[in-house]
Amino acid sequence: MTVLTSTTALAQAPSILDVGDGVVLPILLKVALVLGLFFVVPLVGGYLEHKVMGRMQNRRGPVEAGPFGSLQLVADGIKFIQKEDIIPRAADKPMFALAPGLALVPALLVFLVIPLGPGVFAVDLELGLFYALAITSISVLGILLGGWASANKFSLIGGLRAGAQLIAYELPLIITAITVAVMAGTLSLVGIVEAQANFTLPGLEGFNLWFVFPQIVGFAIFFVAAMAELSRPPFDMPIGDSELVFGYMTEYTGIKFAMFLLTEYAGMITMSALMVVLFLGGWQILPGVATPGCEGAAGIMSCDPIGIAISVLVTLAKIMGLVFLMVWARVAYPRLREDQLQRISWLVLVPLSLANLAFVTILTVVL
Amino acid sequence: MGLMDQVELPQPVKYVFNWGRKYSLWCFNFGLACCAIEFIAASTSRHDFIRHGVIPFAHGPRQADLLVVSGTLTDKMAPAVKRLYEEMPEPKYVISFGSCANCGGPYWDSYSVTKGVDQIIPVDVYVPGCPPRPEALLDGIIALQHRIQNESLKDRIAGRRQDPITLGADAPLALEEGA
Amino acid sequence: MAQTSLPGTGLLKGLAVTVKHLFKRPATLMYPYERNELAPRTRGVIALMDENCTVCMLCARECPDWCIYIDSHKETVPPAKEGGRARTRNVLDRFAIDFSLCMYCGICVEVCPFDALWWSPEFEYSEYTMDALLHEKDKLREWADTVPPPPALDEGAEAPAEVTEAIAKAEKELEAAAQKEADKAAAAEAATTEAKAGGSGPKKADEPKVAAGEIDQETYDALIAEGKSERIARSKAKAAYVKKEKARLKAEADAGGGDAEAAPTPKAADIKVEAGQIDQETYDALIAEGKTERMARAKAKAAWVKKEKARLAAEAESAAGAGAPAGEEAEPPSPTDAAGSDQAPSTDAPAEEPAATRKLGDVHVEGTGEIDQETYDALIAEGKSERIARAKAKAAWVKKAKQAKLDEEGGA
Repeated sequence: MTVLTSTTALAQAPSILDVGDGVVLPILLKVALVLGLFFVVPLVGGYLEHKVMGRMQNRRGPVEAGPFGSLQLVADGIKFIQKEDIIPRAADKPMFALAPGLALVPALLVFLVIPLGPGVFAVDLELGLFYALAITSISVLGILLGGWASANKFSLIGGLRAGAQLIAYELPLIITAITVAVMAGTLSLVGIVEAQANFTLPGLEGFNLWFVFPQIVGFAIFFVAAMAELSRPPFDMPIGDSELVFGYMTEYTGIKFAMFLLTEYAGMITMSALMVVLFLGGWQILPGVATPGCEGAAGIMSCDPIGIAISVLVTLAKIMGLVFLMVWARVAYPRLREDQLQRISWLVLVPLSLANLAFVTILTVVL
Repeated sequence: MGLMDQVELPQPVKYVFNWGRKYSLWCFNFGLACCAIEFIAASTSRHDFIRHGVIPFAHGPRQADLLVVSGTLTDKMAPAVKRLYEEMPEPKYVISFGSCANCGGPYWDSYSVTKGVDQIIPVDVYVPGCPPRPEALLDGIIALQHRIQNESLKDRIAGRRQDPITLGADAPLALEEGA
Repeated sequence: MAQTSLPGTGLLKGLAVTVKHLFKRPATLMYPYERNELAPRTRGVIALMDENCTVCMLCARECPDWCIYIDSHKETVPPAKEGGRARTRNVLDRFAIDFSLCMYCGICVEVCPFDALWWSPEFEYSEYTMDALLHEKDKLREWADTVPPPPALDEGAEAPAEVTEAIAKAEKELEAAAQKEADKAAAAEAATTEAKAGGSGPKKADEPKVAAGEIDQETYDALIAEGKSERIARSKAKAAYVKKEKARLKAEADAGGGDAEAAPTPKAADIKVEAGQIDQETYDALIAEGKTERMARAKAKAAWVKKEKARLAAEAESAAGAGAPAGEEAEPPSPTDAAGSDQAPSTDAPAEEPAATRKLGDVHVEGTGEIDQETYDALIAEGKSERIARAKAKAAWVKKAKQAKLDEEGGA
């Protein structure tokens, strides 16, 4: 990170983790923050998924492992590190071993730029949005690689499906993100949150709005595209178990499989966090409401410790709300067919997002 | 794996590891006959074995920890069961569900039925019944979890190497593999 | 409508359905803590009352799986009287059912001519090795302790044949005795008619539960002491019990119906009581003893019906002005369900408790793995396996917790 922060043009708002004059302590704190986010929040999301899915299906979900089954995913993790590591004889061994890491590391790196509160982030890049979208796209390389290296027809088809799906849904996702960037006038994620806190519709000055209200179409496109990016049901054709056993993960066991799973759950969290930042006002409690203990621009930017804590909790709550929406969609809808999936992207989402972008750009320039 | 089958782990680590395996039994259902219906019933809302950490319907054998053989195993199907069992990564557990899977059940003198899955793969828990109630499967799962919590992975793997069919010291049955 | 509706309404409908279920109570049965109420003859496991077995081999021969193994030997019984003929009888050495092979068809239970085989609803006997599924005589005898009482007959159903026969026999003897008395004391002419009236009472309204399976301990012991075989002693003791019971009922009828000829005395068995409620006291006692919940419930239901009948009878009695206590059913406890009969009719109205008990199923207690130590110890002491003891103790704990919750709510 020192490489990035040393190029002064990239760093924007200061992180609260930049304590003291040293270099080592802030880096350690940031690594701790990112790893903590990466390993804890996805587990909470997974537990939420287990329980919500259970209740929606009139079940209870896990109850035995830990209090109310809250340690179910911890148990899963402990089990996975004990499992035998099977590498098929025909597999391309180095690539086979590399693939899960290649999928996992980008999911980890996105957490660097996710702002959870005022100053609660590892780094605020000027090109934060660009960075986040670019990094998440790398995950597909790991998936393609895993599918190819497994020397298994199901894995290969699964990997190719994943590739096709990610290409198809990357477009509407990025176009929608650009639309938001046009409205905010910045690519910095912190900047976008600040822009939202100050955003008003022309003619309704004094009435603060998040981007989700004028951009409801954009939000819907982003949400659908994000679920497809993550191969979440109902967009889980790459791992559709009725056709492809487990898609690109078919041959993976133990810890490598767990890495793919963690990629998916961490992706759920990062995508939800991006949606929170882009559309739902970041750590702002409600549009136009200043966080207690905070001052500065729109009453959310410079805070005392209590304000920071409240902000972080608000962000996490919003993230979990979006995770809930994803689980809800998973329970409610059956898996799409591959051709339906491509059709939705190329014939509906891409034109819609392009029209949305043109509309917003013209309005922004004219007004 | 790796070290775990070579070295006896210290007690606290062993406890935590056993606890993890106990509550994360991704289940691969080998439904071969009517018992499979009871197995499915055990996975539905009414019985819901996810409560016990049994995640139903692992996508493939590579991700599964628990193989539930429910139903009549025919000689024609036996190679497939054996192969899928071998595709599962260690440590793996097998529940034989119902009379047919236990020892052939009503078909014990049939020309085409394997006289129990333990002829081809080692079985951890036998659930009696024809078919057993879904609660009986849950009881079998609790029995298996009890066993997992108290076992030593090293001994388990070592026992497996000595005798591929027999499990542990308390299983004196050393049946020959069906040709 | 469906064709003209806006695109996407179907998607919203799907979301509405799932979110509606999110706020419903889950249908899940928390198995080790809660159990289904199984019917008394559920095909869980086959139990053996080995004292009833005559080694007739019918079950082993009829078994489609040939999973019943019986060994026996013949024993010569010396003649009962001097100069009599020595007789032989079969002694059961081994009776084993291979539950890994059994297909639970129940033909052996059907075919058994001496009620030696019974269905028990227990199903928790998964094993780590297959040979442990071969249940020998002792194990099968243990299962017999878990056989619940038979389901109550439908209202107005005929009593079972053996009960009717026993009653008829007892009646005949009673009548003969009454005739003798009448001959002796001519002044007691009215008493004879009453005896007839009383004699016809138990016939039309007799509970099969009263007569079936109970034995007269005194007779039994006497016969055993005489050197009779256990089976014979048991059957004779049963007959003796029925006889005694009849005599007792008649005496009651005499005492109760003394002055009120026109108004028939309500007897315990005559009063219709709606079944389905349970006697909490009995229930708790049984649970504490470590019985399964199902069995405790069944027995508690029986106890409740009995109490309710006794109470109603006592009420009717006091209303009629007759002083004799009626409805006191002093059953000798059967060897298998010692705690089943609650003999003291309580005077407090049990109407409130069952109402609360019916809600027991509605109360939800999240089981966190606590066990009821008392039950656990009791079961371990009984020689149950640790797993079963633990599961049952957990159930007992949840049950207690629920009861406590209910009591709390009732108090509030």
